[in-house]
Amino acid sequence: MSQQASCARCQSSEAELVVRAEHLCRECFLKYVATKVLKRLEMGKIRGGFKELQKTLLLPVSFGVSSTTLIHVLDQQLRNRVQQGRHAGYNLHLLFIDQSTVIAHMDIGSYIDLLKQRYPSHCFTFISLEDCSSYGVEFKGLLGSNGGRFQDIVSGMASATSRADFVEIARRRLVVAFAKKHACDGILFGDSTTRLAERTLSETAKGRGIAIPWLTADGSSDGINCIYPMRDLLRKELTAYVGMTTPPLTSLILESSTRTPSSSKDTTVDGLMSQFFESVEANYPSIVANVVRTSGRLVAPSVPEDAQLCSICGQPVFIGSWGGDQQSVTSSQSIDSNGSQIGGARCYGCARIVLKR
Amino acid sequence: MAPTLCELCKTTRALIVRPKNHQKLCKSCFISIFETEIHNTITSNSLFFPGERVAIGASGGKDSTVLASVLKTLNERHHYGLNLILLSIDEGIKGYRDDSLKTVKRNAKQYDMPLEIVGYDELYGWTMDQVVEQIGKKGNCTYCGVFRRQALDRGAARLDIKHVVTGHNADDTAETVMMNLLRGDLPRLARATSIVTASAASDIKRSKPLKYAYEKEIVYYALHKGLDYFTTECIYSPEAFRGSARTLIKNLEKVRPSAILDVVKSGEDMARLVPDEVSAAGQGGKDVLVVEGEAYRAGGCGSANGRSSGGEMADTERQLLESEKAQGNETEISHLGQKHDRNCKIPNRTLRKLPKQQMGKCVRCGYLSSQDICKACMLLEGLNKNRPKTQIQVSVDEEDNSSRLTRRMESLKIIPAEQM
Ligand SMILES: [Zn+2]
Ligand SMILES: [Zn+2]
Ligand SMILES: [Zn+2]
Repeated sequence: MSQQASCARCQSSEAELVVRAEHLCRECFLKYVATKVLKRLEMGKIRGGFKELQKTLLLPVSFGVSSTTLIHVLDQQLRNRVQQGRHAGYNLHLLFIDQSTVIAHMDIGSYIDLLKQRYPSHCFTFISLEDCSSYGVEFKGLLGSNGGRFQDIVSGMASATSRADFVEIARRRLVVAFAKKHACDGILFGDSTTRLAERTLSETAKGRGIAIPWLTADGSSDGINCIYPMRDLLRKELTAYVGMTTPPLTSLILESSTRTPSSSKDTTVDGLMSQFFESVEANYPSIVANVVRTSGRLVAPSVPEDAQLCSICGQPVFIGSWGGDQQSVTSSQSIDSNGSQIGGARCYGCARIVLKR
Repeated sequence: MAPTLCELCKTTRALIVRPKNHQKLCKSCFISIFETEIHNTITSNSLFFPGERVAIGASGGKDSTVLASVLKTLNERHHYGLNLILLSIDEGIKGYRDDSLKTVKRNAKQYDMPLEIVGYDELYGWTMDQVVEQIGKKGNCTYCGVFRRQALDRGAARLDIKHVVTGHNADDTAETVMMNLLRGDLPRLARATSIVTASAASDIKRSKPLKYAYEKEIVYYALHKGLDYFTTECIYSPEAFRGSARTLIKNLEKVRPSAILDVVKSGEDMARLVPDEVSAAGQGGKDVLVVEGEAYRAGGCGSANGRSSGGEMADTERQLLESEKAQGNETEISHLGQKHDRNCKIPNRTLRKLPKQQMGKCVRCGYLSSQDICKACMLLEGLNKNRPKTQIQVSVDEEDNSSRLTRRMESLKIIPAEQM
């Protein structure tokens, strides 16, 4: 480590960290992060033009490093524009979805208070996964889905992987339903490069490879414009960022729980992938970015007009037998790939969720 | 406590928990369902035709031994009418291949199948022992993989056989899917999962009847059928590496038994999402490099079926860093994360880098290649250049060396030109 290295960008301040083989000072690093985010936002062409109405962009908040940085960078941009007397082009609507009925959480109340204090100019809404049905998000054919509580549906599932998978699906569907109900013009998802890479491999492992473009790419998905402004930033860069702002954002960050679960019964496919990418990010950061670049080049499948939508995840179901299913074998495990007799079609990945073992 | 009964026949005591779905089965139901599933794979993909002569790429390891045993059983049971032949490669590795070849020779007797052995020494003038002596252990798998692919084709051509089956299992396929995602190799992602691969470099069809069979089930099957196979891994293959795609697949299987199959399913689906121009670029073009390189992944090692060593992650990272440096950071942004209701075909870097090239013959050995000189001959050139004179014995210069290879190749029955 060269200790007196000066910043490679401004050449004047002392470098405080190395970002993608470049020594940067604190100021230049903050600028680097903000530029990456804003560039992405511009590319999404989601901001209202000069003469258009202000657009409303929904920003789901998780109190992780990525969505918190996103709020911070956009809030700064909006403030700057207001100060300069310029047209901002968009409003932010922050949304927090409470998962405390299904995932053990520390008390979130104090975090929300802090967030509202620090970013008072944005609309903030708090809803719970239990509100799914009031937003029309239903899971036809699942045990307990008939007017039951969301937590009962979740607890009816046989494995930790299925529960985690289902909660993620429900969260996304609820975000989309909320955005539509409140006539938002787009959703700004806070997923970092690392998170998108994790998701790519994780969805692959859960048999949802076909849906990867819908779950990771910028553009219209589920009938609304979805943008991932954090896609060019690694999690470790964001972790550094939240400690460097003035004042630091660290008090807004809920500790992530990627640590190994105490029992293997609680290990999930998603959790495994987080661990995997934690080490990949540390040792091979270019690979992380490369995975996201690669999945970004996959082209969403064309969907037949009469395609049925999966009653759980809402994605189109592609009917057709699959060699790996070995369906001509009479087996108690044979997967019910269209499942119409038990309430709605199911995609391959969701058929796995309902398996009893 | 009453013994658990088999979930299928419900009469015999269950002795096996099926790795794939944790179904509890008796021994004979397990063997029968394992065979039936492979039969389904064969029939639903119409892998064979009656009277077809099929070479089984046999290494003596568990996968190819189980493949030979199952194919023999199914061929008789369902009257496929196949003519099955064992085809083995002798890489020339003392203490590994000579022992495993003994296994293959026993298998040939046990299954009453003819056996053909093709040696690296007769094809290339080098055994792997000699290659390692010259270049060291690092990177030798690349040589072995490139040589192997041609060797299988040449062995098949010598026997006038147009179809080689290999023992690649579901774990291998799943690993390849993950590795291609990590390496960002879309052309290979587009074809990694297909059960039949027609190589651009030969007219010999390859297929993988065990594609949906779990490695663990293959081991159980071999165990319960009392099959005679060779367990030692290649002495030159590098140590398994934590964090490799293989480890990831094994961990996923522990968390959710269906995961291996689910990855294969995703891989097949994603193959359809690879833009045509990318997958097509992978068919001809510069990609013989990739096609030949595939041997390095798929079936690189006779015993390991090309599973990753983990060194691949470090290699990939290095390559990415180099290309980033070469491209400069700013251009990179332009093709990240495109719109997905994209009717527009956004040109991108990789595409531009894949010029269409005509397939031709290697000027040295006559093997199909998009380059003037095929990969094997390139590697040989490097080897021969550095070969100590004393070892060459006859004083030959480089030219002579390559013509010596040409003679070797010619002595084999080479695919007639009109078939290329
Ligand atoms: Zn600076
Ligand atoms: Zn679904
Ligand atoms: Zn039984």
